[in-house]
Amino acid sequence: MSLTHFILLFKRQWFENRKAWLIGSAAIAAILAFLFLLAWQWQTSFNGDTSHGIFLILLFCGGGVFMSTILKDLGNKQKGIWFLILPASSAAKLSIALVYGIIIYLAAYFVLFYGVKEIVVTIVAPAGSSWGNFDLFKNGFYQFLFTFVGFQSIILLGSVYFNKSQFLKTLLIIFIGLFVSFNGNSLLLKLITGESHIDSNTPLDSFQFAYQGENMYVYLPDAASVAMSVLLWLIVPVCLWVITWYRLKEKEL
Amino acid sequence: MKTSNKILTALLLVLLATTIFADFLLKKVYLKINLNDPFKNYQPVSIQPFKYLKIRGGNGYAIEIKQAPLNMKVMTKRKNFLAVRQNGDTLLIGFTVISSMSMRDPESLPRGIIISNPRIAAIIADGSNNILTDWKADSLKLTLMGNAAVNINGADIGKLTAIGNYNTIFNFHTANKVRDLDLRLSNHATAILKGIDYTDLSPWLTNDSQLIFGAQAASKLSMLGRE
Repeated sequence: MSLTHFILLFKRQWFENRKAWLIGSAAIAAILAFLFLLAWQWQTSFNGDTSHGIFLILLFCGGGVFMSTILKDLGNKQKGIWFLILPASSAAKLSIALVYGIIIYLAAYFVLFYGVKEIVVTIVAPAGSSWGNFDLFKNGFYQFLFTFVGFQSIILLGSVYFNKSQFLKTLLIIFIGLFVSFNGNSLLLKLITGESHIDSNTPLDSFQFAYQGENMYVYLPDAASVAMSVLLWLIVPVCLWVITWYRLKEKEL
Repeated sequence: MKTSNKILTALLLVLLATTIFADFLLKKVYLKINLNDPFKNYQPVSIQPFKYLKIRGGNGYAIEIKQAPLNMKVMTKRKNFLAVRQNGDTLLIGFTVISSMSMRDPESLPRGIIISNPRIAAIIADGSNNILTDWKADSLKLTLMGNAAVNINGADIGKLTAIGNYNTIFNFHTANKVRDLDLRLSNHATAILKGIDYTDLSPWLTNDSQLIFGAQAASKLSMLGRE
């Protein structure tokens, strides 16, 4: 992968899409402001910290839409051919998608989120109020970054795998995948443990069962939990990038 | 079959195999649970002996502090929210599980952490809902900050210095005995003297702080006035 090709592709992506991205940024800022105002207006009705919820909703929704558009040309026959014959390697094209869809989007989203939040807090919240306090790194919340990278990697793979309605099809696959894995694992756990009162589970992490009206929680041992995190947060995204790279190469052929 | 499809299939198979393996590991943990243990939903936390306790918490769970041999347990479900640090004879606990802003009664919340120690000289709680149970000591300094609350039950303390800052609540709930109660409340702090028998009361209140008397504590006040 040549650095020159990477920089040229980076610039091409920016110049071709900057107007749409600026409009998208304005839309995200407007939705953020609206959600913050809603949360302020009904602050006593919401149970818990709303800032984290607002942060995640637009991070994933906006991020998913953004990532799905980066290689959108592949869905159009003429533009797709033009994209595939661009004098840059598949690795360079994939890197551009990852840099824009993960690093640039995250950076831009942080700026938008914190900027809009500060403006709303300054306007509506009285001085000294703790409303709107948002600590990204409290209570392990930073782990969302890994989930976000995994999510974006799946969206990117979907945008290369499918020819039409890539984003919707990928979302559908994600929902079906989650539904099957959670419900299937629940059945599997009942079979393996013999416990029939399993209420919920998180594959590769834990399950919950009811005992005499009390919820009981079963978690993986710490060492196994770390190993599962490495698998889900590092190995799986890298595998998804490799598959996307192969898929791009296969399309070029 | 295309290489991309082969790798994707292999990845899905690895995830499936790992899920089954993880389920067998979970079974091992499940079989170790003693369902007759009242603390079956808690797991131990290793701590060293301490004299001072500093808690920074949220209002989603209560933190119970008992007088008993050194021990600490955290609710298994919330272990990821716990941060423990020991600085000399000070135990610092972070447990910022946040729930609705209106949750101010520690007794109505599940115990997120249970700490026991034979002796504590001072407790500083910031933002947490705390329960102090059956505490017997010559003296204790209890400082609350940032919306923290404490319910005190069955205490027998010689000199209790209670300092309440921003929007905090001291609730002397049931069967407490304090010889010398030094109350310093500021910035909307509240002390509820309901189930308490005291000999000397030294209140110092500023900035909309308030002191609420139950019948027993109020009758004591009139007796003190006659003396």
